[in-house]
Amino acid sequence: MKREEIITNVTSIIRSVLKNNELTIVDNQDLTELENWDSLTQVTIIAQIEKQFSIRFKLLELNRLKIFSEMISIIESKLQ
Amino acid sequence: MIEYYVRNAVDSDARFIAEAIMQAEKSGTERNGLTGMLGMTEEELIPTMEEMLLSGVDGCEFSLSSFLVAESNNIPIGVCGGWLEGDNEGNNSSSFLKTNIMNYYLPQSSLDYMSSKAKVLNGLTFDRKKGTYIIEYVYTTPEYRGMGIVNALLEKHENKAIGRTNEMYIQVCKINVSAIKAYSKFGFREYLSLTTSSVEAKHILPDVSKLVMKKIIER
Repeated sequence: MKREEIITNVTSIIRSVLKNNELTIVDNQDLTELENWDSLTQVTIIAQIEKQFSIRFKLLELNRLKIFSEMISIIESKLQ
Repeated sequence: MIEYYVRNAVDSDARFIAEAIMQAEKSGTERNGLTGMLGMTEEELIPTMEEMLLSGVDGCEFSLSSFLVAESNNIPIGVCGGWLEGDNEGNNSSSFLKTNIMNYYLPQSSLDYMSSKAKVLNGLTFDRKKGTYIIEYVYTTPEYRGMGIVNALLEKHENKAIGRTNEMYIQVCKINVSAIKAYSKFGFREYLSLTTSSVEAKHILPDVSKLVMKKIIER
């Protein structure tokens, strides 16, 4: 899967869970600073990403999912 | 008076700390807020909590490295968690780290259950400020209460905080009058009063209201 495709899918999941269809996410976005991001939305977003891409994050990977571009890179590496 | 000393937690304390967290979550009532939110029993959650504490992640209330243990005659008799918010690899918030630990170790059914109960916590959330010292999960075994153990644990945490911050925070259920008294005696003062608007909360949480208390570290 191409990086652009991963970005599109992840953005769609985040928009849906945070209930903001207009949300624009830049590469260096700290996801935890997005409006409505909290523990519960974090749990839901991670679960949906794991389901969508059929992957399972390791604990140390989860702790690196704060910055959007890094999240995309980790997903990309898990799909190779 | 008994003899005891306070030390950093080690791996073999994980079970005692997991059990202490269960007791602390009840705030002297029969309702455990954590198991209630996860739809689990204490018997189910304690072994998982032990694993979570041993995850090796630092910087939150489920990090073994956050805990101090009071020990007497080689037996743990009290615990207290505390950390400098955001002072960890990656400078992550404790909320982010705690959620990741839960995400990794808890069954999906419990995470789904927690999401379905999200409204219970409406109004009870306190955003921890980066660079402040956070205290969580203070517990002493019943037979050792009234012997100054909580004070000794808090004092050791305060010593860790000195020179790094001048603000310490602790959250406590309003019904836990004895804890509020102990924290006040140590120098904590009411900072914020929080109440949930959820009707269901009184069936799940030990209390629908809590206090955030703050201590200014003056030394």
